[in-house]
Amino acid sequence: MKNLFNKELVFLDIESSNANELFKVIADDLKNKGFVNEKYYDGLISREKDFPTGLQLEDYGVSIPHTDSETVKKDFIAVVRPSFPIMFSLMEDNDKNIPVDLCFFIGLKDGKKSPLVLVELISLIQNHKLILSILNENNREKIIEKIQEVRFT
Amino acid sequence: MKKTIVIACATGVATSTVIANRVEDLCKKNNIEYQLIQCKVPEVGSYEDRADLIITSGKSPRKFKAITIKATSYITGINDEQTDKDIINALQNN
Repeated sequence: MKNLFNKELVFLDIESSNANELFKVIADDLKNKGFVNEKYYDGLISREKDFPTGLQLEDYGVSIPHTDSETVKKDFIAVVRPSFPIMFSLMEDNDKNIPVDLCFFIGLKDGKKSPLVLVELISLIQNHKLILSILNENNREKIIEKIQEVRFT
Repeated sequence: MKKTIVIACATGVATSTVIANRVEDLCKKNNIEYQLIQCKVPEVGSYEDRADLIITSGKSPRKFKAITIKATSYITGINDEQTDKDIINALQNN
């Protein structure tokens, strides 16, 4: 799965005041790079509204925005660090909002065919050391290296 | 008797896949015969009559006819062992 990460898809210190603004910036870029189609942005917004993806971990909040696979042209995982934490609703409870420090945008044409990708991504999200180091790293290449270096158990 | 387990998330492909993976392991370890159905949350209605257990990645939009367990802990890793217990319990005692 690690080759789904790509330094061109590491977005650092993105200025936006809410999740929808962030989605716009990332969706436009992903579309320009040929990873998603024009329906991806609307898909992200509506999916996040009904089924939010905010996850509260011990020391940080993350989110995993994604939408229907029909909007994906080429598989990807984008690492997105907003300049300031962005509010997301919690996956487990739509009524609760949390500040999110880091987002992993997941685009898979067929998620059921890639269970390992998803399981490994989830283990990355739970890796405190890795996530905290991504939050403090300003070099996109180094962020990819850190992700590649993680050994899965 | 084989248990029918419905696992649902918004798109039916991402978080439900992670949950399905774990539930399969859990059933195998506990010698529970199972059939998994993975779907989108809005599709759960068409399976709820025959489901023994419904597992969702987030808050369910309504009360389903079968026992429903929320397994967000499988994504965050926080309190995931309790969710294992709840699932085994629901499958063995119903």
